[in-house]
Amino acid sequence: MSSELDSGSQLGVLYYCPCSGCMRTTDAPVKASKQKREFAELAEECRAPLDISTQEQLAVLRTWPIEKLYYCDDCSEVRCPHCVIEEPAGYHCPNCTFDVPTASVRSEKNSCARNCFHCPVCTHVLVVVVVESTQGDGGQSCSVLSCAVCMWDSREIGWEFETSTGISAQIERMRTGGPAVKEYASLLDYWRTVQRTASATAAGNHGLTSSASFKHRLTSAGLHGSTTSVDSLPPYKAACYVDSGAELTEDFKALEDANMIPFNGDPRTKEPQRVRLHMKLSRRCRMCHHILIKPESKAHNSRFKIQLLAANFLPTITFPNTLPAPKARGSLLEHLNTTPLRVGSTAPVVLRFTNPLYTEMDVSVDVGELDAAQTDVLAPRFTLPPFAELWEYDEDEDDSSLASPSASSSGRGSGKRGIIHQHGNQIAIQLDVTPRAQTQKLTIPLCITCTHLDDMAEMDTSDTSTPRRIVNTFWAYVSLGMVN
Amino acid sequence: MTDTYSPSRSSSFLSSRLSVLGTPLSTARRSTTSVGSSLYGAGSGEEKIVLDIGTHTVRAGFSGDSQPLYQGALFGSYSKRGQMGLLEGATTGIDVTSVDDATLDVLVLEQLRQVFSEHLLADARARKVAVCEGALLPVRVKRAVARVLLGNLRVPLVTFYPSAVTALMTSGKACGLVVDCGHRGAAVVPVFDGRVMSACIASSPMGGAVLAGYIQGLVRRHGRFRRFGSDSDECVDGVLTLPIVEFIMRKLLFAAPQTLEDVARAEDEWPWVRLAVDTPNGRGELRVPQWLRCRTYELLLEGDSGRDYAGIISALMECIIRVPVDLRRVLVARVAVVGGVADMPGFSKQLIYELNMRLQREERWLALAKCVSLAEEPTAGAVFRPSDRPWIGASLAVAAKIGGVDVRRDDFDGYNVPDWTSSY
Repeated sequence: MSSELDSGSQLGVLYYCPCSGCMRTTDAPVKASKQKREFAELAEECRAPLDISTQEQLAVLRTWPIEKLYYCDDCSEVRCPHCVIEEPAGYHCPNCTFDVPTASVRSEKNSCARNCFHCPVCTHVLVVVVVESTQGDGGQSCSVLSCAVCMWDSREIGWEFETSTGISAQIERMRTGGPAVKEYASLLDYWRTVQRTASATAAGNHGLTSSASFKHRLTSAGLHGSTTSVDSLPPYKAACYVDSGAELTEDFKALEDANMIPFNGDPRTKEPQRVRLHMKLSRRCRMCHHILIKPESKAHNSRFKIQLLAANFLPTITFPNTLPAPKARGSLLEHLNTTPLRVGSTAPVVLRFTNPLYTEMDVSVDVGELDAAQTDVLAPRFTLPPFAELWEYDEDEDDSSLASPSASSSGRGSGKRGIIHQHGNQIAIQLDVTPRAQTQKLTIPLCITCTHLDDMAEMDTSDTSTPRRIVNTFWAYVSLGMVN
Repeated sequence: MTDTYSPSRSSSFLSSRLSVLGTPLSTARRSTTSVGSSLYGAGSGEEKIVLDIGTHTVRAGFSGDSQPLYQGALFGSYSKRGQMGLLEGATTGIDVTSVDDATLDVLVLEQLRQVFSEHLLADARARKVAVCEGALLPVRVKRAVARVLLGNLRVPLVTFYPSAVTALMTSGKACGLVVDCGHRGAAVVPVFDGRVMSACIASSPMGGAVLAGYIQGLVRRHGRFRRFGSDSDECVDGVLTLPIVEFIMRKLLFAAPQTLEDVARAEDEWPWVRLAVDTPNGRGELRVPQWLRCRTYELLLEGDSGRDYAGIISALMECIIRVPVDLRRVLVARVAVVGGVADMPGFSKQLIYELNMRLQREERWLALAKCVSLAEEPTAGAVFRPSDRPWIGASLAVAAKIGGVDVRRDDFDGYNVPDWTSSY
């Protein structure tokens, strides 16, 4: 079969989403139609919305491979990860795959409440083991956390637990608030008192609302008419004291071997960190609030209840390396897309379009204006056959469609000029690219319009005589690599 | 609100303060419950999300917590994308001033989406957000943050808090001089009565970025690299990658006065620090002189006259001169040193010492020199990390229901963020 080039090479196709970030604060879809009109105008004039050569950074952020795009079948439009609304759809621990109810996510500080910890030395996941206790009288068994990779043990920091379940709760009991927590609590008490006093004084003196006078205090906007009240609270006294010279020990100053310090992470904690929870997201269309992606809420199930991807509605464009030969012909079409690009010389570029729908799709390809190269699309309009299961394809069909009266008998027959190959629901077309200037990455904008009949409309409307025609226009940026 | 109290009202307020705090036993109980407001499931949805978006790191967490849940590099997820990889992945240090508005919007959007969905695990539409902004945060960035939060993520309310004020709140003070030593530079911000005195802000370009450059230059000149198994030293140039420089900067540096003898000794008598590094050609050992660890901070404080960079001490002097005469003593007695660079062990102590020396040089400042001290010492010491202080202060302010500057979704039109530069 044909082989596709791997994603690490320079050839690739990115799709553009015209959503411009969706920063509107109102819910009213007033500007959607205006945006559509602008987009349609650009498409007519064949001017690409993004000039890749000058707006490279933005291009990276607004163009996507087709696997990352969604499609709203209600609005019949493409949606990108920036313009969908994300909602939580379940929480689970990635280590023990236990579902966590929403209420306990916050109370457990977004970490797993069971025995899931990361080793402080090698960050592998720790296992609870029952060993003999070193404290008290020997012979008593206790549970410790141990790492199977680097042999670290929680006995090295003195953590030994009575039971092997509920380790996090036991740890919380052991360390009920270090100095930071206590200091925070006492500061909070102090500031609450200040705020209460300030609001009481203000209410008494000026009759202002409670937080108004203090609210002014934290703005940087100038002075106000009211005199600032002199609060007569005594100065704050801290609850805890940690020596600021504690870190600067003699050992640290005379350190000779820096390999002891962990490269990442906080050097101060040699304690195991709890495993953080993961959140499953479901995604909605911003305009119509239709759900586009809905995962199964169970943690171990990675399927989706609803999955509306762009790859299921728009044709996928790829660069084939070889194309299989039709049965009747002998030769295999190979070494496609390997001609190096040089200024002035025309190179053939083969693009393959794949139709994901069960209906036929009419595709028209137009090239956007580009100074760096001149592109001729040899087959600007063609029809993609519908997708069907593999065994339904008849090999002879391909030959017969290609072997039209004007076709030659050579291995490279083309019933229609520009169409190199046709197999099932895929068509490979040829573009002739003539670069005009040297560049590191030549990118060609293509405006692609796909039209298909909507067979689902019959269920909604009573009038089944005219099914809806759905037209999708989008820009694809085809990257061709270096030009010498 | 000042810290001194008039004697006539002292008794009544003292007693009222004690009644607020209660007896020692109830104090202890109170502290666990205020800590446990998040542990025991009493998070009734009143907690706001607190964000601190700096020039190099993002800190995020919930109000009422004593430390941020997440801290990571700003725009750290901005890397090679797509099949083409149109942009070679620069993961950190994207200069915000060099990108245009649309790109900045998208960068901030991706960063905040990642924070919400991977680290905070929160639904943005359900929670209000408090943002702690640095004094010299560009208005474009503030606008982009407001646009992303209110427009794209549909947060109901965003409140801005000045980071200088919140940093002082962690020491229990409402006046003071805040030295924010960040990545892009250092800003000296005077705060009085809970308000930033914006006309007196002074800044210096000496920040984490410049420090990284100095370390690179010094290690290149004075460091030695030897590959494992070979006998001779090699050139250090190819070995010094960004992660290694960051490691030296964050983990090995400290600030302590060292005598000149160390540097003046012959090179083979220097004490060294060894570090195993990976290079494309194999592993080896990098040796860095010990004096480099403890002397590099001086460059930040004193400045670089060759490149015309004013040091942090000069910025402090400039700020003190600008501040009204009657406030100088009050402010200088409460100096808070915050920011990523200030995490260096011993940095704040040395900064105070150097400021003291600088003031004592001139006759007119002699009296002021005696008053210089840190805001948090000697009562609290180093309970919180200097780089976390603005975030912790914002979390305190939200939990104590102290207001900031609100921006509601209905009032925001995409441009009108409160801007102190234009409202004076």
